[in-house]
Amino acid sequence: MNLREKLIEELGVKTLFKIGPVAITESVVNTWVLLAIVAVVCLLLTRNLKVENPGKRQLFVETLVEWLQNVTKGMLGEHAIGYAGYIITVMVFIAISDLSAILETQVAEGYTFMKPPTKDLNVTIALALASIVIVETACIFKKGFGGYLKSKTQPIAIITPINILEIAIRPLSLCMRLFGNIFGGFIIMELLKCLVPFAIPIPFSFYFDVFDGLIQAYVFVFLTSIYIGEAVE
Amino acid sequence: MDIISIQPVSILITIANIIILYLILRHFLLKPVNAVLEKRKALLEEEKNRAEQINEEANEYKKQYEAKVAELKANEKETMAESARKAAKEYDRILLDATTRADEIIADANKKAEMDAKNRQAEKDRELADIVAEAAKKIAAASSNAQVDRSLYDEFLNKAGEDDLE
Repeated sequence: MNLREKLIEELGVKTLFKIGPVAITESVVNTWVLLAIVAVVCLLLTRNLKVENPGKRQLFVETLVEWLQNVTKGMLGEHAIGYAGYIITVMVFIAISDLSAILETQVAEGYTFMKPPTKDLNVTIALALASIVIVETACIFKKGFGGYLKSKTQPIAIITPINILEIAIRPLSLCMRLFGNIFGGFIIMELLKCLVPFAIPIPFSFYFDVFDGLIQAYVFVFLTSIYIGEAVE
Repeated sequence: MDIISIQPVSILITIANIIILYLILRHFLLKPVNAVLEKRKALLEEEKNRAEQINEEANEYKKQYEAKVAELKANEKETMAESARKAAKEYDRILLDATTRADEIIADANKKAEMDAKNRQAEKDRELADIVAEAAKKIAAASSNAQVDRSLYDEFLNKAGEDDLE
């Protein structure tokens, strides 16, 4: 297998199995594995929580939760605090998906554990769609359907087409930014692994998988928070 | 195998996965941790209220104590003034008694001294009378001449002078 074929093999999203007509891709399976890991970690972290004299584990989880809530509430503003749960979910989803690239291991012929799910365009499309549905729904809940329609003509009626285009542009930009960054990082990492498989990829992995992955998670939720904040203003 | 392909089913499953992750985080992480944080906050609030109540009680006790101390101080001043008044009165009484007694003693002493002087004068008079009587007796008993008269006269004067010196 030459470099080109190997790269195409690594970059592609494989269908692992089918449930009836539904094709289950490896990014979906990897996401399920990540969800299971998150569920187990959450259960372990929140076991035997005490009101008085908390242990180190409890202090860690309390600090983490408070930090997540404070960061998201800070980004959303006081009018949109109710959406903090969704923002935390998206942040955790993107962060664990991007960081999962560190664990990338070929466990079987045709299945690599863990290719980052955010490398799959379908995952980033889903995230962007969910975000924009939340943004538009938040606006409708806050202003009512009439107010929502009226908000599309603000601040002046002439920019109404631009406001309508924004409904599509915002998710598209969210989706493509995340996908482009993770996919680009993945390509560089795969090239490096093909050319120099030993030692050299480690520092690059720290940049593309850890630093860039977390930055992208933050950028995605930051922009989504701004959109939600604007929608409920 | 396409590198980039849009599969609506994968998109829907991913949206479902996001919802599942939301539920996992909400029920297994945020809810229990927030419940503990809320309980701790309530506990701290309760402790704070109790501390404030104790503080208020302590302030109340302090006020009572200060009032009592002020009252005691006022009483103390009054008592001190009363004691000073009593002491002054007692002092005056004692002084008056002492003065009276001293006057009495002085008067007694003067009276006694006067009496002593009178007694001594009487004694002297008696002794003088005795000397005179004795001299008279001797004159009467012995032959009288100028020599004897002179010696008797000198003896009389000597005895009288010794008595005066005594």
